[in-house]
Amino acid sequence: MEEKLRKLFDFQRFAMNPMLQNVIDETYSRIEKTILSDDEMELVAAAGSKDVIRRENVADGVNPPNRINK
Amino acid sequence: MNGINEEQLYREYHDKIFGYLLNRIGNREEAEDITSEVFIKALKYSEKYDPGKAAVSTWIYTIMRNTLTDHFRSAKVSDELSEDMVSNDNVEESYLREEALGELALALKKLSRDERDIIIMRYYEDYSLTEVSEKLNISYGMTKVKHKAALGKLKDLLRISSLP
Repeated sequence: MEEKLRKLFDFQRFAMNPMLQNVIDETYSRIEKTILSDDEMELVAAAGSKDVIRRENVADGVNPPNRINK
Repeated sequence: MNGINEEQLYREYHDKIFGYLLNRIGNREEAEDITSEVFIKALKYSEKYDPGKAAVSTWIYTIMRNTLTDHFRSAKVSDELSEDMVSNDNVEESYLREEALGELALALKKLSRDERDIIIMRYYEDYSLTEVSEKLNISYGMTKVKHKAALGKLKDLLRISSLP
């Protein structure tokens, strides 16, 4: 099962099924908003809104989104 | 070509192939070279394509992955090879279909948010469970529990689990 999931997701990087990509992007956007650097935390505090942090790595229909920085 | 229009194939898959390869390799020029190789092979082996066995997308995806594997081998960058790339298993992965991706999307939506995030980060991003637990700010133990629960649910939800 795990190997099939891995291969399906790899196939997704190629096929870019829009429904599945939406699910993946939703996770990305939520995780990236959660992982804030100290500088970004200051920006959030100053702006008063979590939406200050924009997603940079978005699938553009050609390239899959970049990996979340480890 | 065997039921395949060359121009349509190129138009439909060039950007997908290039995008995938660029993501994997990180070098535009190499990605372009390998993309060309993929289409050269597709033209060369088009007569062997059997639409009854696999969709065109699966067929050309397989050519692409094999070409990428050859590229890494010839470059002797062995640490770039993931386990599935070096596998000698040539059994056709018939579950790699567009429909299966849609099924996976629907199944993921039926998981809890944490379970969904764990699956995506583990199998799309290839994070370890330790890294996933850190990213999600969940204990490692709970991450393991939710991971196992998510796999069990997906196995029930997905028809692909019945395939060999």
